[in-house]
Amino acid sequence: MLMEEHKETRTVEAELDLFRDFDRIYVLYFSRMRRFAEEYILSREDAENVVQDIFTMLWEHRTSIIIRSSLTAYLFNLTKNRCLDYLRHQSVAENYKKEQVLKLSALEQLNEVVNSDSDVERIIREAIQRLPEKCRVIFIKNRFHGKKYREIAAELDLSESTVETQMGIALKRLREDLKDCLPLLVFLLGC
Amino acid sequence: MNELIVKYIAGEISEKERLQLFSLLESDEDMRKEFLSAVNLRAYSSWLPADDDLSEGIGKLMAFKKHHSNKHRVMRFMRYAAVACVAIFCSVVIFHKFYVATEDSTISYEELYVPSGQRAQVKLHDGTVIWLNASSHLRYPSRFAKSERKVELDGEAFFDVVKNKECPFVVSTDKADIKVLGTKFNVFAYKGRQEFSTSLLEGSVKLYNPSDEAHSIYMKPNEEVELHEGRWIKHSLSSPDFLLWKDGLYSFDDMPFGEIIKKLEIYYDIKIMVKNPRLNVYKFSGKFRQIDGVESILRIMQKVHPFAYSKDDKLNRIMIE
Repeated sequence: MLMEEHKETRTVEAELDLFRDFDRIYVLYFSRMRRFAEEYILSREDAENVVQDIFTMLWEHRTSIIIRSSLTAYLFNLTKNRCLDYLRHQSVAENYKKEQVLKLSALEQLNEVVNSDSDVERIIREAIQRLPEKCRVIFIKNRFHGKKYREIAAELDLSESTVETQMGIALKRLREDLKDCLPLLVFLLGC
Repeated sequence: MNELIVKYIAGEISEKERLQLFSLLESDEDMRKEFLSAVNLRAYSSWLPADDDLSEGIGKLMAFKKHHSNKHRVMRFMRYAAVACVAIFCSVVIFHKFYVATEDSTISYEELYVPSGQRAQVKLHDGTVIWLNASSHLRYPSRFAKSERKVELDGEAFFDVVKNKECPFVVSTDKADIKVLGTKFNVFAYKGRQEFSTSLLEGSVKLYNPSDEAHSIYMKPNEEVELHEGRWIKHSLSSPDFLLWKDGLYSFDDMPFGEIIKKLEIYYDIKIMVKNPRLNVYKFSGKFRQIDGVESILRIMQKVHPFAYSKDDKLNRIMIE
């Protein structure tokens, strides 16, 4: 069952074309790219500007850009590279310097090949497996269930939460959301 | 894993702990490795789609398209103007009258609309730079007339006007017109709202009702004129911080709760109903990032004087009790 869902997201991605589907690509990826940029760029405004600049570039060259990889891979790498450019050239206030230097090192180490969203899911799964059990639960509950660290620490009920069940639920929900929103997008953007 | 890293990743670290974490990371190689992979793990999870992506994406796309179609209009006009200029140049001697007539009829307007929660900057062809605050609308001719540079404003804007003694710059709003030669000033004039104010930083401006220009108010630097129950009131500016909106910050200096709420309603295009009138007497001072949104501002104010609020997304309304 999981396999089928993977296939479905992938076909949808393959069908999107920068020239024909600019609007849909923007709506589907803007928030994801912004959130990713915010993980490394400390100023939220600058992170958003980096993403807006990417879309401006895509818009201006939409007739000439040929994407040779998958769209996800292309946008992921574009976002990553633009963030690297920014971090290498922008200086921040003294008390944020150490943080920014470390964020740049982190991004420089982000070298896993991303061809599709399922690659990202696999990378997350593997990284979570490597965490100590307590952190694993905290991470999953905090990131995918929106729980506060305080609340999780108070729950103490850590035994039932295996990675597979927790991640499975979280990722299945994400995939279904994405699938559900595509017909809506077609309706909203009239294409 | 170090608890500070866990707190950092969960986004619940205090400023003191944050400084502590980063000085620890400087000396502890293993901890640094752990931190870097935790940061990357969180970034990967940020890449996955989330619940509100669609609504944010659509809102941003609208603003993006508006911005880019405006640019295109300007470019189209430039091409048009270039053709017109060539035509005028050839016929200026012979068809002088005709040329004047065509010049008048080719005036076209550019319109710029800034959605709620956003801001924008535009440079006019005379070099004047205008910053527009959220929910604002500006209309200006593609090319100014020879005797007057006139723009129409519904909303809040800051003007840095390039000096031209022969050709005054006029900002027209629904409550008054403001005429200047070359200055820096802010105008707050949303159509249909009672509040109006203009604040002068440099130079001098003249404020008047277009039907009665003889009765006008002259302003000097660091003065502000407000419309209060139908009357003009002039006072001096205490701090230039209110202009921080240009940089994406909303600054409120000892401002009554009710006034702050009115501004938030405009800037974020949302109806806010205050059911507890006692709240209106409290005054607040603080700076907020525009991008963080109206709810983040309310949550911070809640910490100063406790109140409860609920948001109804369907009616685009916030109730405060």
